[in-house]
Amino acid sequence: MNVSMIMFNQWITYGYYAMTFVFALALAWNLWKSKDPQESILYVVILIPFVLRLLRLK
Amino acid sequence: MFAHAYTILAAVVVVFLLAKTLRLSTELSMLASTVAGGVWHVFAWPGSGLRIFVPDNSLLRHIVEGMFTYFDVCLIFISATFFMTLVKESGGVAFIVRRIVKTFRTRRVVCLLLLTLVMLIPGALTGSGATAVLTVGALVGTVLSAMGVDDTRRTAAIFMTAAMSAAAPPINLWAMMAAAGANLPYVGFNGPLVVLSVAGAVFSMFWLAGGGKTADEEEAMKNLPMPPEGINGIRVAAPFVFLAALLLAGRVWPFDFPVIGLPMIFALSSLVVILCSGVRLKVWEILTRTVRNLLPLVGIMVVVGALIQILALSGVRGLISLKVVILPLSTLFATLFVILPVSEGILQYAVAPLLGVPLIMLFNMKGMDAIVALSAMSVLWPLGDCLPPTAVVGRAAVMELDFRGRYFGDFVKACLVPMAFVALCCTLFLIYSKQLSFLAF
Repeated sequence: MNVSMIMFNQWITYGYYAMTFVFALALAWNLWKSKDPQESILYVVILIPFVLRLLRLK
Repeated sequence: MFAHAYTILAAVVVVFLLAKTLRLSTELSMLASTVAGGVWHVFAWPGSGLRIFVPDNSLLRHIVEGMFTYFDVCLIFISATFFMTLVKESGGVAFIVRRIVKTFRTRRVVCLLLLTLVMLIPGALTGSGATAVLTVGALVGTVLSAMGVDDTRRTAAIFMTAAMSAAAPPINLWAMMAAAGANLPYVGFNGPLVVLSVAGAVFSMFWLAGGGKTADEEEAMKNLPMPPEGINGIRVAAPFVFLAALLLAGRVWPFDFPVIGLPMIFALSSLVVILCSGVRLKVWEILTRTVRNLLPLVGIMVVVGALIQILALSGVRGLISLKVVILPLSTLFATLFVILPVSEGILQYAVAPLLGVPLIMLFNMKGMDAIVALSAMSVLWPLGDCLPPTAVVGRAAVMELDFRGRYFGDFVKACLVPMAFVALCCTLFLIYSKQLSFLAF
């Protein structure tokens, strides 16, 4: 694999972290705005994999 | 071991039904049954060494790990739906539909074919029938109404084409989830999926909306939203051309083009929509609305991953697989067209890894073509999206088109013939999967 391809892949990885962050932010925003308890619980559950991925724990 | 797995399965089913009785949503009911099954496993089988909170081998770790199973599918789902919502908000969808009515209103066959294509695109790109209904359903419904199609048949046509769009390639979530569970690469599905879903959508549209008058241009135009000033064919087509170019580039230059992945392709295409849009788009508002609309679907994918992990951990998944793989093929061929849609109505996407994986193992073992067989099943599943208790796409179609008739007596009844056609085609694809393997290129 040449150097430019490695660099591209690195940028794509960063892009995925950025995308995960933006989606997590939108989920957190909706969680903050939500008034339905069932909906809020579901937002928290969905946020778990997003946050763990951002923290690079998983 | 068998008794243990049976007990866990019973606990999962009982807690799910109990939670539904207590009016919990399907996603939370499934989460409750997952936790119940896991806790039961820990206490009923201490020899497994599993604990609730111990870091290395804990139930909590397994549940969280399971939540990651379909993380990539969730990213695809959100990014693709965001892309389609941006196209809609920029006036692109209204522009396309108005152009179709204006150009082809006197040619009913061409008009219906193009409307079918418009219905197929959002679902094909996002893998969600609900997205197809929410983004283009109302607009296509308005044109059908102007073409003299009554409310019942119009709603049924929107539901059936939306269901087929969810099954259409490149994104078929049932096939993706089942393939991931069976360690089968999601490659070669485009051929069989396109044949089945397009045939189903075209038949449904012509069966339900084939008769009637020529579209009343004035009435249709009056009811369709006006696209913003300055929008034109190039601005509408540019994001789709960019999307198609990125999708194809990886295949044309597999060793010279980086692997971008579908979520990033949709995210980049979304940027193109924003740049090409004639109006200033409220991007953050559209994103939060998209995420809110997708909550049940993303939620079910996260929860299903955890459920599958617990079922695999406790031996229940093996038990289900064993029970499925010892069934005679003739029995499966004669019943799958009913079992799959009904199970979809109950479990939504969860049904793909639960039933799909053992069925694929069985079909592969029997020498059938696994790709064609899974494609056929993946087109049967969305037919159940109008069935209770979930009925996500059916309810969305009824609400979006403001259908006032009886849900089962009128709407579902109108869908029966197109459903039977799709079921027949899929069953034939299952039976003759080996002979049709040339489609899986």
